[in-house]
Amino acid sequence: MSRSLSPAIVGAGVVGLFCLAVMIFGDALSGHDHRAIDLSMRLAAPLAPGHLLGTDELGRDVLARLLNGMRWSVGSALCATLIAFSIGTTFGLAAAHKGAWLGGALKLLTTFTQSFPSFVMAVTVIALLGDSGFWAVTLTLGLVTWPVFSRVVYAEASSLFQREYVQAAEMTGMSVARLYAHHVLPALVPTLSVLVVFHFAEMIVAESALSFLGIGAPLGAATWGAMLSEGRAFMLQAPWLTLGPAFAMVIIIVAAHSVGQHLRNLTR
Amino acid sequence: MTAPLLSIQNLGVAYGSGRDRRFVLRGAGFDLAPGQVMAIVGESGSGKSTLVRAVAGLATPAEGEILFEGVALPPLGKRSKTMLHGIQMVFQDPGASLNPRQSIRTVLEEPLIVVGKLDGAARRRRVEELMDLVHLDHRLLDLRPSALSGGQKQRVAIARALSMEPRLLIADEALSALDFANQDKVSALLLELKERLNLAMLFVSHDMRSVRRMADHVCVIEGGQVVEQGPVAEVLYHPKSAYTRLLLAAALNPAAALADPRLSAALEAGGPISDEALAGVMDIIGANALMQEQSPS
Amino acid sequence: MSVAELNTAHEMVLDIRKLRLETVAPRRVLIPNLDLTIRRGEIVGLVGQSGSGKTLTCFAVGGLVPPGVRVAGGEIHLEGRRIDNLAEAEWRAVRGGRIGMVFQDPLSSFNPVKTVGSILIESARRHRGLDKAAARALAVETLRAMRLPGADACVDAFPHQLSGGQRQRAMIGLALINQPALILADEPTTALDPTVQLQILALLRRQAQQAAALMITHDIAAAGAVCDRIAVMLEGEIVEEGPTAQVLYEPRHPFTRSLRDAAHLGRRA
Repeated sequence: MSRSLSPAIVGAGVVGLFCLAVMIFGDALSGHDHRAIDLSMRLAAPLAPGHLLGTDELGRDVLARLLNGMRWSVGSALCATLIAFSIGTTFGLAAAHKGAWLGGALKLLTTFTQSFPSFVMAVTVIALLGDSGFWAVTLTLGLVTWPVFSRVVYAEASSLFQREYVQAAEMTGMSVARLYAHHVLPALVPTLSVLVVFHFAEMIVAESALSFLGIGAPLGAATWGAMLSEGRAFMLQAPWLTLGPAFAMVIIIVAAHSVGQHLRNLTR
Repeated sequence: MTAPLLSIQNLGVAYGSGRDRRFVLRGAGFDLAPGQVMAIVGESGSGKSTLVRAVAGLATPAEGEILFEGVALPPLGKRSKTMLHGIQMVFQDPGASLNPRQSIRTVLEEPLIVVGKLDGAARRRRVEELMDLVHLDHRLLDLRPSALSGGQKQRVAIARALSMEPRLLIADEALSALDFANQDKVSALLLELKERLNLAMLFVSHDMRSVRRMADHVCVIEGGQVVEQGPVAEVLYHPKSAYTRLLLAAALNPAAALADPRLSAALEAGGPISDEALAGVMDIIGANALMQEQSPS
Repeated sequence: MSVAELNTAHEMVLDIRKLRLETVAPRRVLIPNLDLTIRRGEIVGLVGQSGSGKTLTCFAVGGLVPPGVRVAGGEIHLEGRRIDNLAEAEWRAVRGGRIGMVFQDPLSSFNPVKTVGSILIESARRHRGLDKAAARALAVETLRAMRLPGADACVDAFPHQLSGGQRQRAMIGLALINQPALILADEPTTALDPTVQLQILALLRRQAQQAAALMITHDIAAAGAVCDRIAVMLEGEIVEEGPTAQVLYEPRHPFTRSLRDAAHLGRRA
């Protein structure tokens, strides 16, 4: 029975709850201000007194910075996913419902956007904006990746409109709203929920990559990508500076994937 | 002579546009009186489904007209309630024609909600009446389609179509996904409903056995063209086109058809079959004069 | 062994003796005890409804018993050689070699990314050890014998580019390309239009006479048109078996009668 809870999904649930706690409590959870510099405690190794995961080259607490990075990364990825989902689904549905010209336009647009790697596109857009910050990054990621959703929704909804039960419903003369609410959207829920979760994992990576390149978070902000980038200089001296954010990312992504996998099994 | 319920005039349906435009049906035309059954017969891809889908509003005519109760039918989205409710359809695949996420009750109640004439209690009564009409047990109402057999699903689909009180029912290969026993039962049900409700039908099929049982008129389509049409007795006993003759032989007595050396050789070779090769077929049709064999009991 | 006996043994292509099929867990008997023989040149129809065990019997003969089912007893002999206990590696030589198979849906039985010809060529090379050119020539010749219009072009066509009837012709060609002893045809015309069914039945009858064939079908009329003998199957057992005319027009078992009546079969030819 696929409904029984596997260890993977329990683990993912714990990670999710932890994320939620970090989102709400922030720095209170680690007991340190992630910006507080303490030059007397530079590059302290993990398990140093008062610094569970050690400190960086400016003596800032790594755990506090990791948790702050989580707030930033997870928050940004969630919002970017939501933006991509909303735009993509709306366009996909509209185009699928007899929108011959809209369907054509959508195809053109998605072909256009997908002919550039979305990451390169994001870099370009942010560079053009000339501004970096939470919303600049989040909006850019959302706006660059929505065709993923529109393409899938368009394909699935179009095939639904060829299905006999949807055609029978159309032949009763029901409103378009009712048609979508009762016959189209419920059929899309399984695919969309899986897609959302995997997209979220991708957005975590994308956001961190932007920060790593120094075009995501503003200078000095504690994000995973920025931490990785700064920690590189001390790779041999203080490996915990890079291992910390790397592990954090792996855990979040594995958790998201196991949720996605679980949803996929549930709906099969 | 009553006025026709449905009048199809020079109907053509095409896919694609510009140079790629290709007609899948052209020059189809006939009248259908209330309470009469017109069988549409042809191979897969001959255009027979396209014809009825155009009537249902699921395909858009490229030329010609479809008049329903004297009024030209516009595309589905622009049809009046009277037109929509007047024409309902039963599809080929019983597995795909019911929403898998709805209970049978919801499937049957939804069109009644959309029509909006009945309140809650009256709707529930009407749903049960519809189940009675297609001889289904009320206990099935709370099940999902996946729990029903193919024959039961097809009966639900018929009940859903009847909920709109149509004057014209389109059955697009509605029997072909069922086994022999269920084909007989569902076609008997359709006949019974036709009599009780004075229902006209477009009955799409390539099974001559059910055509003979159901139809008053037959229209044979081949390659997007009507090759012959007329009263059922005329088309079935005096078929003119090669295709109709072959179809009849296949349905009546495939063994006799293959026992005819000329016909057998022509069949084996595929491709068009000459009149000489088909000469023996008329004997098969005659020998099995349909009305004597298998009188309706 | 007398000469007559030797001759009979040679003529016997398929000999199923007391075949018993069961599910593994929970143990349930699907086919208790089935005997069936097919001689050279003979086409035998195995007719029954879905779930009667006719397709399972066909799978057992082809060495394709589905997972969860096992041969619990009896023997199957092909051309005098016992085949029910073959290892999978040995089966690969028999299937496509001594046994040719035709399935209901040729679209899903053909690999969609390979041309029809390449599938035939591959089979001819594997079983006959032909070189590429010889195998290709044989494939074209076989498709031509199947009366596939434009056989030369069809060799390089993908399965989806052919019509349903053409695909089934190609499938029969694939079954026959290595001159098998036995053809297994599982519902070979069910998915086709009636007039195309008739064409494929005509072709199958002519081609199968060169070997021997077991045709599985639910349509007793189709079996009647092609087969020399018909065996009627009900719930895992053969309830009636005999020459076609006898089974169709003088059925002894009530189930045979009901099958025949449901098919609204025409008069005796």
